[in-house]
Amino acid sequence: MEGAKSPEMGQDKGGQTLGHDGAVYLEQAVRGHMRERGGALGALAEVDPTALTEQGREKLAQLEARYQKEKGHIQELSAKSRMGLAEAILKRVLEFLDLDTREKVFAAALEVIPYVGAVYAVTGRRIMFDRDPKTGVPIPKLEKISLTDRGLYLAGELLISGHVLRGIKQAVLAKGVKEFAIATGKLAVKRTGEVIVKRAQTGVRREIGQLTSPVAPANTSK
Amino acid sequence: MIDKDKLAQLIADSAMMDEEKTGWIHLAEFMNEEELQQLMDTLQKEQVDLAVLREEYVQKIAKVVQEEKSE
Repeated sequence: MEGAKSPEMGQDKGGQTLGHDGAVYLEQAVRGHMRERGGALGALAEVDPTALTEQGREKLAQLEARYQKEKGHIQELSAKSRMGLAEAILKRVLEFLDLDTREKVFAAALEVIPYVGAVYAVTGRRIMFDRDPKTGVPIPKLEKISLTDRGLYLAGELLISGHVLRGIKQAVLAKGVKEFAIATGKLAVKRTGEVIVKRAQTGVRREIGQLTSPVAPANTSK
Repeated sequence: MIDKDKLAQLIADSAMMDEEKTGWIHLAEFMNEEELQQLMDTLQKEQVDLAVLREEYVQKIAKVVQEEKSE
């Protein structure tokens, strides 16, 4: 690309990588080439169909269909190859971030904010509020929860963590840069944190809501 | 050493959707030389295969048109 200096490759855990400067250079170069190209390729062959007989047009249509089918096959093979490559890179990056299992993502999430359901599952207690029948003042208490409920809480949290991990992977393959950036650094934790925050807020609202509700039952435990 | 200009050209010319192109541009930041080479080989092969296929069918169409004219 004219006027732009190609930067040297940087160092990273996965070997010598292109690095940020390299990626910026690559982006500018790709955009430049795409502008030069000026859009998609033209028709397969410049043929005036009105100049052909009905039979000729049918032959052309058949050829076009076969061409599209074979073209699709080539593109499919290439896409599969690229997917395999992307998966390998993603795996390496996630390993680098130490987020290669959903348990680790879950653990990372726990570092961001206390996870209501997980805390319930681990402690076997959940916070509940009773109200003083005379004054109506809410009295917090820790209610013991059943083993089944603990399992459900834990399963729910792990499931969400699994979704986050899968979401990151799919985002890289499907959405590219923006989502991948989220998956490749502190933002991965931030994103996970956003999910956790939302869920924690829901949990907290559910529990704390009883404090503010004008009429609350004496004991709302299940 | 990877030829970044060639890689850029291959990405720009590839049949990938623009979103995927953008994804690869940024994924490239984390790719090592071997992976970048693999990507280039994949894109190069796809483009060569597509060009060969296109040429083959352009000739087939030309033959149909020629046959029509001679009839």
